[in-house]
Amino acid sequence: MSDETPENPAPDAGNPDTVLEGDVLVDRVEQVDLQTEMQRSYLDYAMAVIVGRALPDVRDGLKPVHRRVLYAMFDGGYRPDRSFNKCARVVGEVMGQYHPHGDTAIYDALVRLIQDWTMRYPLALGQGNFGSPGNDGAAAPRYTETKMAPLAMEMVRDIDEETVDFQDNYDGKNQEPTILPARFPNLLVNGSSGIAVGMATNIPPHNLREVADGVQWYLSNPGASREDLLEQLLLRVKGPDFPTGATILGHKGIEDAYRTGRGSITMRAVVNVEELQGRTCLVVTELPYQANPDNLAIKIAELVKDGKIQGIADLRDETSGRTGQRLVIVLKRDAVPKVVLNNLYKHTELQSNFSANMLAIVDGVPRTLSLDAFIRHWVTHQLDVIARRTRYRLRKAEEEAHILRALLKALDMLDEVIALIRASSTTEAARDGLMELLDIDELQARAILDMQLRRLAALERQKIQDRHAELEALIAEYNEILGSEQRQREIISTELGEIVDKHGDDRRTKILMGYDGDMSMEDLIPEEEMVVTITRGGYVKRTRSDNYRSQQRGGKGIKGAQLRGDDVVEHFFVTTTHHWLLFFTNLGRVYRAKAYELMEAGRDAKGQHVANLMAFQPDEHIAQVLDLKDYQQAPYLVLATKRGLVKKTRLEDYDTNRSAGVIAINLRDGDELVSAQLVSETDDLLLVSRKASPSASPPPRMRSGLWAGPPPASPA
Amino acid sequence: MDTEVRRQGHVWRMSFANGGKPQGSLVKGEETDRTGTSQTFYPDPEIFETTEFDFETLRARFQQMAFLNKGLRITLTDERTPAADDADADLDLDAIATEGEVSAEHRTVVYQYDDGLLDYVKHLNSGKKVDVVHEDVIAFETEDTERKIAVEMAMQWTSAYSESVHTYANTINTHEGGTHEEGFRAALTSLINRYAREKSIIKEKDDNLTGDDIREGLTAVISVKLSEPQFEGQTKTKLGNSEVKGFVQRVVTDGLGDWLERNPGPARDVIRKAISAAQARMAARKARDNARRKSPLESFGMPGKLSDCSSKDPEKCEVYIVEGDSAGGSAKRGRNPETQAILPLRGKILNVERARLDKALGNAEVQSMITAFGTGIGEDFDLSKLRYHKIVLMADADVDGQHITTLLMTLLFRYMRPLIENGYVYLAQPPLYRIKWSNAAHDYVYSDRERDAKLVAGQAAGRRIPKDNGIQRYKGLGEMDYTELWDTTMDPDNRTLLQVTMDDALAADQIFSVLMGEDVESRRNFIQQNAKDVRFLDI
Repeated sequence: MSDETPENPAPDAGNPDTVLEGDVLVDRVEQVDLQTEMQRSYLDYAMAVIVGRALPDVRDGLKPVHRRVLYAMFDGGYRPDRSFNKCARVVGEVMGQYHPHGDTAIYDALVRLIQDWTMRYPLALGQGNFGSPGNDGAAAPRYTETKMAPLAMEMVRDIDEETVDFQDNYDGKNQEPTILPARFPNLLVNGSSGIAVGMATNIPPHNLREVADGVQWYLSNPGASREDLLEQLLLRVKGPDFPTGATILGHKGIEDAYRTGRGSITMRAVVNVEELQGRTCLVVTELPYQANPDNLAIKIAELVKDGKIQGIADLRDETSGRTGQRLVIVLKRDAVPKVVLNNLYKHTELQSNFSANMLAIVDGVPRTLSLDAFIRHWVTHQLDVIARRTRYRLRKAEEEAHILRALLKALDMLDEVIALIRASSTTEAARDGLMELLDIDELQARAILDMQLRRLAALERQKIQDRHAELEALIAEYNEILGSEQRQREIISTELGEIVDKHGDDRRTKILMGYDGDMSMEDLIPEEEMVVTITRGGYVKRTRSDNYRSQQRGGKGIKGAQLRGDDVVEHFFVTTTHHWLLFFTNLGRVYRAKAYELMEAGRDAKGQHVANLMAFQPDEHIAQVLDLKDYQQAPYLVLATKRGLVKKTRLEDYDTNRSAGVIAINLRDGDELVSAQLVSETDDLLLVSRKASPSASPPPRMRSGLWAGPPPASPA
Repeated sequence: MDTEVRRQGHVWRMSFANGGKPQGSLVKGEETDRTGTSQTFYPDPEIFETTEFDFETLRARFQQMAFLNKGLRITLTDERTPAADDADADLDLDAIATEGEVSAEHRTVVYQYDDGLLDYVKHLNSGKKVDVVHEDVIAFETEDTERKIAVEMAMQWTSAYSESVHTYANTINTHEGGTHEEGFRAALTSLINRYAREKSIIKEKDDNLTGDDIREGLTAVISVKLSEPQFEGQTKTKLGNSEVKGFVQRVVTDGLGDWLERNPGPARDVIRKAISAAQARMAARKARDNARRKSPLESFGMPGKLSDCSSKDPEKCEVYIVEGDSAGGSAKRGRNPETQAILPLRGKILNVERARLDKALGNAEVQSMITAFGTGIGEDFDLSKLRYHKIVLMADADVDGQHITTLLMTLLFRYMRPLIENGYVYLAQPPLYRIKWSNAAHDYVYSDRERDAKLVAGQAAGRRIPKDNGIQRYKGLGEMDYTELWDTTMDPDNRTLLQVTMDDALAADQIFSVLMGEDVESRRNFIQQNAKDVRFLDI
């Protein structure tokens, strides 16, 4: 562990001449600097976690614990064609042979491989309770049973044919593979996530068919440039395919992730609107990946209780194994389903982001990879696997052919051979004699000696000859394969094709192109009729129009606002929550707000001061308020000041987003804005002076910005 | 006392003496076109103990009167003395006084305040040399003619820590407060809390601000005028009219509420100040609680998991901080109970670099270590109370053990740094392998290199290793027998300890914040730059 440690500080324990020098503690104390020790220890830990614990290998897409679980299951015979075995046995095997860590960590890793809402293509089969996507955990390992999934066999296929390197296990008693052959691109297909030190990974799962399609293109175009490969892959791999289905909004995040290794992918639940028992209900049938339905229900209930989401009457979780995911949100009768749903998307996990950060271990170091690199590295690994497998098979074939050649020779000289053996005093003598007689080596001689008598039959001889010819053909083929990468690629292609035919399935996650899931406030707030009340003192409120009712003759009126002292209501009009309100002030500035931004208050409430809504300057107060559906509602705006200056400006010019307000009209000293009106070119305008003498003029006669300063588009 | 009233075109005179007995009837004097009243008063030595007027007392009182009656001009001239040099100084002091005329001959001050209480508050705050929290003084007044009550008030928050609320009833300073102050406080507390919650400046789960928090740094003057004041208390300086409370409360709620509504920015500042006052108050209380609670823990409340040593001499005692209960068991059986104490920790302790102090202290493992050491932490750290002069960190010889060592060192460095500075912290060195010679005693080795060297040397010396299980790799301390643990790691005669020293506290500080802190980016850079594997560099 530590290189600073001196040579063996512990003498032989049994040595009796280790003298205790009285009671004096004769410690050997060496000094280590805090900083050095911190750096060294931390670095060791960090490297171990990065390289050997939390991040998957780019070739087989497994973290060490998963690799060990799979190999232990394979090695221990917990295979798909056998019966189920207790998980505890598997855990014990993994812990005892390969993974000297906690049993819970190993069991959790095993459970993950089984859960079909975590793994797009589970690598282990389970019997018993393995929990739910919600807050239910798996049953204890003494109850549950497991075996490998058929697909997992493809992960370890050919492992016995020297396709991968093996290393000593932790106690050197055993060997474990450093990598699995992984005959399908598991890392992309099943994804991975892990937090190491200073870095983390989060790779989404994909559809096997799509990824295989991309691989096939690369196999047939091995010379493609990085860019070409990436473009072709983008065409074939549509995007992540989550085991829980759901939808992905927009393609931008996917493309970012594939091109750079990082991207944020917006996932959204599948929600249907259903009529149940006469009530409109939102039924959530598919959740975003890794969303927890139990927590989701709790969260929605909380939001409803806090009044942050309105229009929900009841919440029922009807999820069961038989019906699948089914969360029923019962709406109130007056609720707008679209608005409630948008709010749910906004505030809950019904819509969430998958932050792809595609980091994997390549040649022992972590790298952030683009999509093409994943494919490239996997194919390189497969080429290696195929080459090693072919070399192994070639060697085996040659060994067998070597023996067969000896057998054939022996059969050709059968009588001499028999005579020689009968004449030999010992086996050794017979062997030596054979080697001389037939000009063969020791191995071949021994094979002849081991031969059974029945193989001397004439038919057997033919069989041996056929087998020899067959082997020669195989050897020729193997040599050809080893000599041609093209052949190797074809083999990968065929074998992958077989796996896909057997295990491939349709995509579950739908991708909505061209929609990024961003919502404006208007999507979250129902359009409702509102009465806006503004007092001279600057108190503003909006009240639902149904708080006011019409009165018959002799009605006494009802209270429309609570006023402070000498305040009076100055502006009062009906608008809707989605309308713009333009506040023109005495200083000639105009501020704007959406009606829903005003404080909603009861009929007899005071409301909120405009200062909370807009940054008024000192001594600034409202002169006029206009409500607009949009800036196309009227072509012009006419402003009039106290001193009688009038101007008209195109209404669209006021459509700017400055929260500090824009200058609507430049005023001379001492002048004040008194009125603002929407006009069109054909309207007649009637201006009334304080002495009540009106002067009419059709607006076209006014020039834009006649006495006034520049239009608001160029604020001071 | 002589009274001279000019009205109805004449001057009217009358005199009193001996405690108010008229010295004759009202005399109609000469004609005049002026109006006004002059009072001439000489104190009667038979009634008053002192008959000498103190200029300063009068000055202060008149200034107060000027503040309390806006627009009223009061001129005070001391005819007993000639104009002294310090007359100017007097005026400078009251720079707010709108008009100051200095009589050439005598000491004179003039007070007139058009903004009344508003000026009063400004005057009070300008004398304090503190920053104001909001620029404009809040001032409002209301009169209820029907019930004959009027209230006027002005207030402003400053960055001071004390409150200064002055109350007056009919211009009499009510030191002891009374119903008008009660009404003010009640309204202030509930209004500020309501407003802060409405604007979610204080969160739903937070406690309400207390009146004291809100009034911290507040300068306020409240003046009520009412037709039939009732005063209570020993010195009759406490207002007793019960109707005043509700009235003031309503006026404050209304007036201050309006100000808060109109000035959201400053209002937010005021509430932030109150929140910081509340936090300071709670922190102070927590510190006090901790100080009180600590003593019983220190003397006898040792953590349950600690197996203490029998010696009480800190110099001889050592405590082993052991990773995990499994290793703790071996250590307990293997130790020398006289001088060696064992404290097993469960798993990885909290990273104190990334946790707030209260959370760190709440952690059971951290707490048990603090109690076991006996020194306390942070500011209360007392090295003389240390119970062991060797604190030995004994973690498994694997990467997780190293991680635990770094976590422990973070705790020691951040909260008990003197332990490191004084060299009381050691690292134990458990062996990595055991070489099991079949014809000799076992060898324990501490590194891969040493293992290989030992193997070669041993085999050269004719020793043999058994085929099966010849070299055991220790994955954890729990894997060793207690005797093995004692022999290799804990026996003072055989063990090697690494003493942790600190050459450069600043550099150490930096390394702790890089390795253990919040900033992932700098940690990743560190790993990339320092990784032994150069391939790491171009991630």
